[in-house]
Amino acid sequence: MAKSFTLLFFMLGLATANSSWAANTYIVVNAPEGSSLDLDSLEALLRGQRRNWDDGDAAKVVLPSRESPHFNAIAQKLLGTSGVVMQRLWFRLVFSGRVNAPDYIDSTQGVIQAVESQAGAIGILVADDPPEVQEGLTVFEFK
Amino acid sequence: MMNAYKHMIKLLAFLVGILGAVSAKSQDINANWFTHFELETSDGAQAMDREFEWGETALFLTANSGRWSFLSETSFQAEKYRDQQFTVERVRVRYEFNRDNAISFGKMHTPVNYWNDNFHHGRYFFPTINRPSSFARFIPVHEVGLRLSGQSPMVEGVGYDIVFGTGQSEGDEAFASGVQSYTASFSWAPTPQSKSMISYYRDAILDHKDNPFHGGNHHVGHDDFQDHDGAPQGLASGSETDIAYELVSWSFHHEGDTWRTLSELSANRTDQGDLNWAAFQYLGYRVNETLSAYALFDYVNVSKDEIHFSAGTEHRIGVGIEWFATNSASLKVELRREHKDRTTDAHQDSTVLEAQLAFGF
Repeated sequence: MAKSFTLLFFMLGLATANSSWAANTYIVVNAPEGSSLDLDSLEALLRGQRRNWDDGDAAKVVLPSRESPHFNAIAQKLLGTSGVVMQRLWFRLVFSGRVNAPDYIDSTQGVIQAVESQAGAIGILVADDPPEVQEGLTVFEFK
Repeated sequence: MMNAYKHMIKLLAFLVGILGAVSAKSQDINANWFTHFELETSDGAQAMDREFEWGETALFLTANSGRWSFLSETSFQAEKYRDQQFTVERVRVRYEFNRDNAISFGKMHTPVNYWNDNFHHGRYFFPTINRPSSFARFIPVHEVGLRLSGQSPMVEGVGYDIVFGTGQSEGDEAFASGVQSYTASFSWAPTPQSKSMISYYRDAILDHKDNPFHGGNHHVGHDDFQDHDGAPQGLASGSETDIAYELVSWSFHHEGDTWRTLSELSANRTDQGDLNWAAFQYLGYRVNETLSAYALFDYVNVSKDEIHFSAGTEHRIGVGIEWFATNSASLKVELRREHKDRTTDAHQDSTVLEAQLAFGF
C-alpha cells in the first residue's frame, strides 16, 4: 500500500513538473487547395526535408521560438533532438537555399495566428485539446 | 580595377532589381547579417607575434513568392584585410517546377561537398574556426550557372543537384566561354540529422599557367594560394594551355544531441594526371546547450608529378571549444599543430592558438 502511494506521488510530481507532459502535439495546416495532406508529407515539411506543397508553391513553416515553453518538447517529438539542434538544422537549410526561412513564434496562440494569416503555412503546437481554427484550416494530431 | 567596379555595380543593380521585383508581392523577406573577429598567435618562423583581424561581414537576404525565391549574400571586409572590400558571394533566383524539382540561376555555392553546400560566409555556424585546407585550392566554392535540384518522390531524403557552370577561370562573367564546368551531386539524408553526399565536378582551367592557382612543377615560382574568390594576383600572361580539372568528393554530417561529426574526403587531378587527396574530420561533443568541445584533423597531399598545383603536403591537427555566449554570439578557441611542406614554400611547422568571436543576427 505504501509503495502504491509512493508511486502515485511520484507520477503526480512528474506530471506537474512538466506542464506539457500530458498535452498533445497538433499540426495546423493552411494548405493550397488540392494538396495531399498525409501525415508523412506534413512531417517532411516541418522537418525541412521538403520545401513545397504538391503544386510547387513553397510552404511557410511555423516553429516554436527559443522563448516558447514547448521549444524542446516539439523538437524532441519532431526530430528526436533538443530545440537548439533543431534550430541549427533549420538555419543550415535556410542558408544553403534549400528551404525558406521559417517563422519562430513564442506562443501556441501565436502559432495558430501565423498559420491562419499566411496561405500555404503549416505550424506545430502543443495543447491539451485540438485547437479551434478558422474555416479552411485543418488540424492533425501528431502522435 | 574599373572593370571590377563595373561588374560590382551591375551585380548590385541586379540584386536590388530582383529583390524589388520579388518583394513587390513577396510573402516574406528575411535579412540576416554575420560578422566575426579573430586573434591568432603562432610560434611559426614567418608568423607575427599576434595577429588581430576583423573578418568578413556578410549580409544574407532571402525572399519568396509562390514558386519563385531569391537568395543573396554580399560580404564586406575592410581594405586593410582584403583588396576588394565588397563582394557578391551569392545571388540567385530559383523557380520550383513542382513539389520536388527546381531550377536556379545565378552565382551560387557549388554543391560539391557538405561544407560548401551548407555553410555560408558567416562564421557563426562554422563547426571550426577555418574552412578545411582543401578550400584554398581544390574546392570550387562558387559557380555562376544554371542548377537543377530535386529530390526523389519515392525515397525520402534522396536528392540530386546538377550544375552547368561558367567555370572557375571566367569567375563571375556568366558563360563568357560557354559552359565550362559540370557538377553532379547526389545526397541521402536517412534522418533529418544525418546527411551523406557524393559528387563529381569537372572544369576546364583556361590558360592554366596564367591561372592564379598555378604552382605546378613545370613552372615553379607562383604560389598556388588564392583568396576566397580566386582573384588573380598580378600574374603575367604566358601559355594558353587549357587543362581539365576533375574532383570527386564524399561528405558525411551528423548532428545529434551529444555528438556531431563532419567528414570530408576528396580526390582531384588535373590533365588526367596523378590524384591529389584531401581529408577533413571534425568531431564535436556537446557538454551542455551552450558549450561544445571538438577535435579536428585536416590533410592535403598533392602528387609530386602534379602539373598545376604546387606539390607537397599540409596537415593540421587540433582541439577546440565552442561557446554560445548568447543566441547571437559564439566564441571558438582552437589550439592547432600545423605542418606545411610544399614545393613553392619553405617547410613550416608551427603551433597556433586562435580565437574567433562570431556574431549572427
